[in-house]
Amino acid sequence: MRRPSAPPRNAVRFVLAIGVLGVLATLILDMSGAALRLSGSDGIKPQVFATVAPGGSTVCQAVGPLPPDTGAAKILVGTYGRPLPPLRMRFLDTSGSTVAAGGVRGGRQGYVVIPLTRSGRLSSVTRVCLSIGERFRLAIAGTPAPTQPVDEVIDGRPAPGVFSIFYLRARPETWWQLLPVLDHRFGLGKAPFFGRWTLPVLALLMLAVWAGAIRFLARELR
Amino acid sequence: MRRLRTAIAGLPAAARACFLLALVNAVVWGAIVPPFQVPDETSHFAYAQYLAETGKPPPQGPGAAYSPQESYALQDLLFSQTIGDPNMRGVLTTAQNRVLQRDLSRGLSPLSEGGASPATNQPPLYYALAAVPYWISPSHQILTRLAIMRLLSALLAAGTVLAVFLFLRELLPGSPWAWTVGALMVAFQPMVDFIAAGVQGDNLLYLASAVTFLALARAYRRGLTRARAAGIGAACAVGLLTKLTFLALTPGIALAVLILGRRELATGRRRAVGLVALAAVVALVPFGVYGLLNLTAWHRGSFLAGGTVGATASTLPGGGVVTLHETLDYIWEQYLPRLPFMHRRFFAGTPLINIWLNGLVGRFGWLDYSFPGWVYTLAKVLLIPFLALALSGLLRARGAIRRLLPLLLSFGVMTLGLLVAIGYAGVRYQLSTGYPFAQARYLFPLLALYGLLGALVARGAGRRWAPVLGAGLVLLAMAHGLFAETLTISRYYG
Repeated sequence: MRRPSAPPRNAVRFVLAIGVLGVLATLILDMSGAALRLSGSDGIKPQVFATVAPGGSTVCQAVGPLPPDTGAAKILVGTYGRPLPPLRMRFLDTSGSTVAAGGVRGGRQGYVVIPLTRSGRLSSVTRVCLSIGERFRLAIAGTPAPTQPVDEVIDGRPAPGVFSIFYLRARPETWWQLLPVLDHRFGLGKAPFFGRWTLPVLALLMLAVWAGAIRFLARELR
Repeated sequence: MRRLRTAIAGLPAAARACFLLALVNAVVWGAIVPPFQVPDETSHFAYAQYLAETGKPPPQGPGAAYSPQESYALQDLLFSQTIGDPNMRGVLTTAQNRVLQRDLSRGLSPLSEGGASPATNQPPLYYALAAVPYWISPSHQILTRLAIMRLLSALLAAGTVLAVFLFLRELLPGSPWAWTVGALMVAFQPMVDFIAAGVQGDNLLYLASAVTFLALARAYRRGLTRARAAGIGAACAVGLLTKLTFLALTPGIALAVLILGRRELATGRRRAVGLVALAAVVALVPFGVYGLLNLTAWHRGSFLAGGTVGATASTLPGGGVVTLHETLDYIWEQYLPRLPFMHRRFFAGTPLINIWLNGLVGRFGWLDYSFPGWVYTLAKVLLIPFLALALSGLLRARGAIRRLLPLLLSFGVMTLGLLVAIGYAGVRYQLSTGYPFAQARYLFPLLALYGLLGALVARGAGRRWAPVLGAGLVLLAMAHGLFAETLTISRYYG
């Protein structure tokens, strides 16, 4: 009986080496893409177009403190097929003073990013107002049921829903640039023993798993 | 302890390496996924906490299912805001974290009222095991306890990988490379790891199922002895006391045990019958005791604590009933293309791809985030050559298959039992609620066969190239797992 021939010498090692290089290249490419990253949200999901505001109106609602690294806000809007009207967003403190504000002059419906300029402490924010320019109505995504009876008002009159705001960091960043932030966030919302050490240790463990598995495969699958 | 040490020392070094790699990988996953973000982890933790605090399973009354501790934790973790939308995040700022940690240090009660939840009608074995890390946790803070309890899930996942390795060793004794390939494909399967990241009873179900496959294969290859019959029974008992889904595997297991018993007839009819009876007694007596405790000491309403009611009740909320015809149509359509004579179209698109393949590639969180679309397209493209290679692997192994045919037949019945059970429960759920039911993870009691499929795909390349393709497959699984981890990090922390 003829014995099956052995695999070409070092073929497994070659496949593993090419594969690891491919994964590494993809990972580097993936992490090098820049985009505006989230700093938080107002905790309201954009489930439906919950707020419909007429052109020229101002929609206000209660909101919690803004994350300290916020540089822009993002809302989901629908314009009923018309161009986006000018929008101005203001974050106010309890005295009604503007803490951060920004606006856009136009654009298209969908997610709209509004860059913000700070003029106070973001932790003091208690209210947000969105002023809609021109005469066409605007639908804003959020949640239909208000969390409190008078959460949202349009031109001073109570409205049935609340709109959703995502807070963004100021500039587009790659994942490499965001690593210190990820490192910080990794220790939050978990058991107290987690901390800034968690992400680096996990990265080392993942590296150890990969190194161990590749070495093991190269030995076992000869 | 000495026997355990001897057993571990008796394992092949490759098996120990697979176990260790799977364990560390699952521990990493457990630290990446934020608390309660594994599907149904809220309910599984609540069950374990109630059991750890009271020593008995929840009575499933109308009261609260979550303890004040867990309720506050969920509120401060922004749990309900986070799930369901991949753009929403949990705790991202130091201020939010301060509120969370302050509330959790207020000495809130860890005791719930044991109210009904999606997990409470299941047997208590996993939760009893989870009570051990709950008790030995160095802190009584709920998130510390949860983190320690997650290590148990990682251990169970690593145990499953070990069982798959040993199962493949029994089935493919001449191909040691295949044991490693199959086991590591399970170890790095990201949906397996995602479930292993959380406090989730399914992890013990997967282990019990994999060990059952192993015990049956071992007894088939080496002959049924008292120890092996008891082992099969014990694996089944663990499965039955973990989740009632295991009942779906029992017809196939019973067939396998009868086949094993029949092979022993040559050594004496009495001995053969005794061995079959031993396996049945070891499997069923603990389950019977569980049922009696439900009726007596635990007052959980019925023998199975209502554990099969949701999956089997045919009456719909509006007053209609689920007919046999609908049930059969649904079960068929859930896996195969609809036939012209079938009345209803239950699924849009092709469930084989949409639910099962895409689900295996990855639907993470509370089914709220996925890979970019091209990843699923690539998986679809790869499916055809992989299936062709698996078929080729089967043909190449036809000599071994002929020898194993009765065992493989019983594995087929186990698989069919699970597929039918998912469909049977699914049609009732979908017609009652309007929501789809099936998730790819429901197939994970068949992880041993997933490992076997991986080994067969590699074998399809022929003996010469099989280890090379096997290395490529494991690397693909590792890359799949790695990018699932980075996706998860961007979902919750980015």
